[in-house]
Amino acid sequence: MFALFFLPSRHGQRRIVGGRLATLAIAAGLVGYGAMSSNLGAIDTLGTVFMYLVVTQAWNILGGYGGYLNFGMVTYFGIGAYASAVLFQYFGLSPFLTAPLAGAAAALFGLLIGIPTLRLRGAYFAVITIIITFAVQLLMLDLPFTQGALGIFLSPLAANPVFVERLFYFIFFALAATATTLVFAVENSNFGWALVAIREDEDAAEVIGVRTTAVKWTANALAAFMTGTVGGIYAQRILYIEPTGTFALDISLNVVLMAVIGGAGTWQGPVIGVPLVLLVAEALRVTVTSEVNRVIFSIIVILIALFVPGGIMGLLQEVRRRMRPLVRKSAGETMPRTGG
Amino acid sequence: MIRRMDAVKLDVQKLVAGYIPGHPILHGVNLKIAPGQITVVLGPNGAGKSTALRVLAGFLAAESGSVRLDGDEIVDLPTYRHIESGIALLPQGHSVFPDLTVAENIELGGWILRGDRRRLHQAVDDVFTRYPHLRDLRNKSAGSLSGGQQRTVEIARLLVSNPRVLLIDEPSVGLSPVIASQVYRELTALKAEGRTILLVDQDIRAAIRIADYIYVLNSGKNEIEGDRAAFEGDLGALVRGWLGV
Repeated sequence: MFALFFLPSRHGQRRIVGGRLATLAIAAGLVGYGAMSSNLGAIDTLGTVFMYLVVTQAWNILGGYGGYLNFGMVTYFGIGAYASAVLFQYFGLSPFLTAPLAGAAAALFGLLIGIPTLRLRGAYFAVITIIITFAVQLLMLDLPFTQGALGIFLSPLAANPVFVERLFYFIFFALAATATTLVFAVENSNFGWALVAIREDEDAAEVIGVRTTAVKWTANALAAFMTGTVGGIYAQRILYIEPTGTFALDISLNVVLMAVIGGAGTWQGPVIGVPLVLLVAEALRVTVTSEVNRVIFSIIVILIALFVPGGIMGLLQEVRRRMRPLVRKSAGETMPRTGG
Repeated sequence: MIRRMDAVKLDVQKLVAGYIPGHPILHGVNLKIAPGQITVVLGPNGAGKSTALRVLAGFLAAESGSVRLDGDEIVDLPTYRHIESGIALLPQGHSVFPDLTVAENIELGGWILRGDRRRLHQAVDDVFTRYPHLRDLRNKSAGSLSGGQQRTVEIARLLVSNPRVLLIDEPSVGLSPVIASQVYRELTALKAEGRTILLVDQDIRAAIRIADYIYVLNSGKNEIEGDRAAFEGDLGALVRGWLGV
């Protein structure tokens, strides 16, 4: 997030500088809170928020900008978790080394699986990503070195739980900041425009010269690397992984939900959507103790999907668009700007 | 009828192509596209007109045959290399990026110029000068425009990269007769600028009216060919009878 302050943007400079200052202030506050707070529950929850933020930003690249709705992000997450656990368990590699290797393993898988799947579009692509999750989950149950349904236990990094929680808090925070900066850079790059063109009309994108296959593969591999890396760190944090929980479809669905509610296809969307969804779900779980909390949460999601299809960022952009003529009028600008 | 011409811009020889390997749609099609002229390809549904255009644009791989642009073989090149070579396709139906603005659509038309921002901005500005009414619509989303306006955006987007060969697939589909006639006038204007146009069309009368040379395909093979005069005479009646129009 810090780098957002320095990167160029195609938007208006004054507004952006204000936004970036606010982002910088929030980031500094989060760093300070992580260093000073003794509330381990809050540190743990915020760590989870940062973890989901990485995965949701990763999803955002191909899903939000490219329009390829991947409902199987947990596949990359799980592959990363297993790669990290196996490398730690059998080869004794440091968790700090296993994390990028976990990302590389997921990226390799993403590249290979992308060859057949990225030829599919729309609902066909979405469905195949779910099927792949189940297939990989079954594979992890059967492979000898994954220890099947028993799963893999890992040793903790340190004996002091406060130190460990803080450590993962800052690791996930750093990754979330990096992921958000990366997505911001994508949004303001030719690569981002290529993805948007693919989302809008893939055939037309090819007509103008976008190398659609290469762009989709790159986006998918990048998303897989980011998600796999986080999965690898997650394994070291939770210290026990098994196929059912690690490849839970809930994780994939939550990621899509967070991106869509926040505003898919914008770097700010996941930043808004992830904490909102996690905190609302948590608040409902605490205040409404029965299963009714899930019903209420579902109703909220349906209402947002119906009335705010562009997510909260879409709503904010619409408000800004409607306000623009009023602002111009008050500034003495009465005619719309034209010109090439 | 054998065509005589001094120069060939696009030379298609014995082209075999289809969507399923071993089941070609085109069975050895031959086309000679003269520079700076409008060449029209006619034929009934399933004749292979659009398939031929997709191969020439690099969207579809040929099973065999040759496509030469100014003498250079391009049949195996991917789409983006065709565009870099100066070939551009206007596909059938609407192909604007609906949620993007007109300005964004047109700027994306210069995708191959993205490494040279100055040249890109100049090319975009030239296009807005050519179509001044698009300047007023520049901040509107392309999907909110009328069918005719969208087609203009598509043509404008096509011209940003300044292609020398335009492959046009059914340009009048879904347009009112008035708008369609404007599109055909625009094609004539593009020809007057020295651009080479290969037009595939179902609107036979309109296409023949602006054509310099005409090919008729049937079941993926060359059926007949000739210049406009031949088609407007006896041959025209023959084709109309054959196509049932």
